[in-house]
Amino acid sequence: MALSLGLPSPLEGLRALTVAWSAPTPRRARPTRSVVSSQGAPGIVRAVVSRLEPELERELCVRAKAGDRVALGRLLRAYGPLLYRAVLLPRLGSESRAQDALSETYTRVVERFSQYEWQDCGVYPWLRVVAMRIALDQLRSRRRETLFEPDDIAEELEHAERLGPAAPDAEVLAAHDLEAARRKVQRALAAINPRYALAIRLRVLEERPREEAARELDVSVSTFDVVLHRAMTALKKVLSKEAAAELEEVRS
Amino acid sequence: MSKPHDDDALRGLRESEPGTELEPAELAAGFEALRAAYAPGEIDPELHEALLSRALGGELEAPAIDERGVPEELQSSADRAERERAEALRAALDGAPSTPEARALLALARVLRYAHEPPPLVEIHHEALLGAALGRRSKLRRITTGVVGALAAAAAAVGLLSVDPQREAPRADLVPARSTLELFDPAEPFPRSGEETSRIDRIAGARASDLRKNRYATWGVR
Repeated sequence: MALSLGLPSPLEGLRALTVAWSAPTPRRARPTRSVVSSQGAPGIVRAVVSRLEPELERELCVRAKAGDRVALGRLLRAYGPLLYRAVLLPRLGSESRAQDALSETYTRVVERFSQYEWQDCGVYPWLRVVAMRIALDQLRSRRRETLFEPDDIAEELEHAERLGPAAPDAEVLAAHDLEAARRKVQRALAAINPRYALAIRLRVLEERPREEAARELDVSVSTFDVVLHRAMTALKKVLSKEAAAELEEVRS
Repeated sequence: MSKPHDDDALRGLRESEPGTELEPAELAAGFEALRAAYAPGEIDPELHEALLSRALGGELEAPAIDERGVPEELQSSADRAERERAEALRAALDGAPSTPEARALLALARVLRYAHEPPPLVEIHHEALLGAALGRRSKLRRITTGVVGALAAAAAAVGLLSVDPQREAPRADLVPARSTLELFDPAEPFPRSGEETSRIDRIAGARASDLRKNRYATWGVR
């Protein structure tokens, strides 16, 4: 049976755009909607971005700053899903928490958009900083097992604020954020027995059927269940210890 | 323990250096030390586990199971309780979590999955969030408001029907049927899940109060 984590299936039929984290790039005229899937070659993370033409985006920002809710709605409709998928969901690890955070992000954007100043890099880097601040608040207020610790996000925020107007545009930032999340997964798996890591990779990350994962590990299906259980328990222990260590560091 | 080729080497050493009068055991120890420095071997895995366990006070994860070549009935050293927990995790991953541990591990599986391959936001959820933030009524909210409004109308109808038809109703003083919107802060969107009971309680409380007022009004005791 296929793994069911209650996740919606990836978007289909959309053109994938490969991007990489690099030096800031000038914005070009682009189609109003391009897409993203993060299925790709190893080491390459693709980001789906509903982008706006720079000129249109600038005009919408001016109108939104003047209090035009329709214009602000268009900006948020274009970039909200990307904030959710690239920034909030990987960092908070739960759909309901990520949606709460997106809602909170929107509220804060509505309250403070009058303070936003247009930059050539577009509005996404500013929205991303707002979303990261919300995610940071959430992580600090609710201790749960997540791959990201508050310090990680504080560091990302510091980096984002240092970049300022030199920030890359939305798809580059999104690719960077998705890649950072994947690195977290790899790091967590590297802390446990390689055989456990393989079991998790096959069944949880790649969603392979149990039978196939068991074959890959050269064990029976029932034994694979035990291996996976031990693997998840070991990973939980590793993450709990890391979280406890960070808390201890903060306290001291 | 010295091996045959070790002994040959030791003999060779003694013959090349006639002044050396070391005992064979001392020479063997020296030779072993040299070999360990030049080509150190692997530590025995069982010894390593024992050392780690002693050093960490038993705070070790279970060692990996290598079942290859072992008959199936002997595979894994899992006891019955562990197999049950593993089965609970399997069920949880297939969508039916049954124990707190399985739910916790399922949550962890989602954390990994969302970091590795985050799914897109469902459009209707996004519209609801946008609508709430921008002060517009989203499709979801319109449905909720419609249902709540129907309940309110039903409650008001009960109030009107329960009055004595013989008595002339002072209609102008009755609380009219109306939307429940005023009971909720429009700036505070409904949470995605939860608090349904408290919302229904609030509506029921308000409408019961309306009903009482209407009864008192129709009875002329207000």
